[in-house]
Amino acid sequence: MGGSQESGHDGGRVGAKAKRGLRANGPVVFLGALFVVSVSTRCSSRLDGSGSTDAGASSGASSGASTSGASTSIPPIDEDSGSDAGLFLGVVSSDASGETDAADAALASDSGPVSCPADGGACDIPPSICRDSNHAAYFTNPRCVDGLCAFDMQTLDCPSGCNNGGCILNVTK
Amino acid sequence: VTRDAPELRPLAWGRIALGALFLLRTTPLLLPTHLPFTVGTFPLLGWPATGWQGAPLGIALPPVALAIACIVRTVAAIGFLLGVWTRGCGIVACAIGYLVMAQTPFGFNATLHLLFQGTLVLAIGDAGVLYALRGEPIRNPRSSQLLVRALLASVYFWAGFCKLRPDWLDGRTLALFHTEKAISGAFADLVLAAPWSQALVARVIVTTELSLPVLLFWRRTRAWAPLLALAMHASIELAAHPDLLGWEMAALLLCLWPPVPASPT
Repeated sequence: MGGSQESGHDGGRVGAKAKRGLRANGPVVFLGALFVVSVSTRCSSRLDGSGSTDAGASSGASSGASTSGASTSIPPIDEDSGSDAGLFLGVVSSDASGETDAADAALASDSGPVSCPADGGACDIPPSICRDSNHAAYFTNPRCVDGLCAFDMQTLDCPSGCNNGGCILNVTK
Repeated sequence: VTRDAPELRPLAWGRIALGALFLLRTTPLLLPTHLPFTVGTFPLLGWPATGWQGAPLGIALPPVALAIACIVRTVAAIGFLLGVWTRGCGIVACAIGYLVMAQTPFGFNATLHLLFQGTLVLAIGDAGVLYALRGEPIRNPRSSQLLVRALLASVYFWAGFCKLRPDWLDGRTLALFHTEKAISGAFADLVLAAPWSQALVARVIVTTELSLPVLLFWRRTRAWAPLLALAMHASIELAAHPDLLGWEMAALLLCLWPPVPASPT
C-alpha cells in the first residue's frame, strides 16, 4: 500500500518534471511539432494529387496519351533504368484533359511520324515533353530512318514534378 | 559566466533543431515521404554519386573515400545533435559536408550551404553546453548568440540586396515562378493573382529582408524581429514549399529566444 503510494508520488513527480521541461523548452518543442505537421501535410498533398509544387503538374504527353501508331507511342517508363533511351519517330499527343501544352503543340503539328527534310538536312529535334507528372522526356541523336525522322528519347526524373515539358523548379534550393 | 546564462538554453535548442535537420536532409530518414529534397539521400546524400561527378574545386574523391566521407559526416552530425564533442563534431560535419558537395559540379545549393554554415557557427559557439550528453565548458554565450545573429542578418541582407533589380521589384519574377508552378497553391494563387499584387508581394519581401538585419540588431526591435522573420518564413513555406531552408533559418532564430526586452536606459 505504502509502496504504491510512493510509486504514485514518483509518477506524479516525473509527470510534473516532464511538464516543467516541456514548458521550459516550449519553443523547440513547438517548432518540432510544426515541422512534423508541415511534412505530413506536404506528404498527404502529394499522395492525393492535390498538392501544388510537390505534386507537380500533370500535362504533356502522359504514358496514357493518345498517339498515332505503334512507332510513335511513348514507351512506359522503366523505373529500374535511369535513362530509357529508345528510338522514337515523332509523336502526336495530348493529355487526358485534352489540353495541349507548348511541347505538344509543336509536335501535334504533324499527324504522324515526321518526314526527313527533302534537302537532306538534319531533322529538327522536338521540344521536351512531360511523360507523366514526374518524368520529362527529351530527344537526342536526330537521324533519318526509312525517310522518317527518328530520335533517341531520354527520360529525366523531375522530383518536383513536370510541367510544360520541363521539370518544375524548386525555388529555394 | 555560469550555466544559468540566459543565452545557453536557446543556443542548445538551435543545435538540436539544426542537428536534426542536418540528419533529415543528408540521410534517408525522410525518404518514405518522397518529398523532392529526399532525392539522392539513399544510403546517404552524395553516396553513391548519382549526379554528374567531377572536381570543381580540384579535390576529386574516389568512390570509397566518398562513401567513407559521407559516413563520417553522418556520425559527426549525430555527435553534434546529441552534444558529444559538439565543437569537433560540428566542424567535421561542416567540412565534410562541403567536401562532398564539391564533388558535383553545380552541386552547390543554398539549403546545404546554410546548413553547414549554421552548424559551424553553433559548433564554435556555446551551443554544446546544455542539453548535451557530454557538455562543453562555457566560453562566451553572449558572443555565441551575437555570432548567430550576425549570420542571420547577413543571410537576410544578401537575400534582399540581390533582389534589388527591376525584374524582381515589378513582380515579373514571381509571376514567372507562379506560371511555371514553382510557386503554387491556394495561398500563392490568392496573393499572386494580379500584376499589382505580384509587384506588392515582391516589394514586401525585399523590404522585409532588408529591414531584418537592422531589426535583429537594434535594441528596441530585436525582441520581436525573430517573430517577424518567422512569419516571413511561414508565408514562404505556405506559398513555395521550398527545401528545408526556412526550417534552418527557424532553427537559427531559436537561438535568439527568448527575446530580450530593451533596457529602460
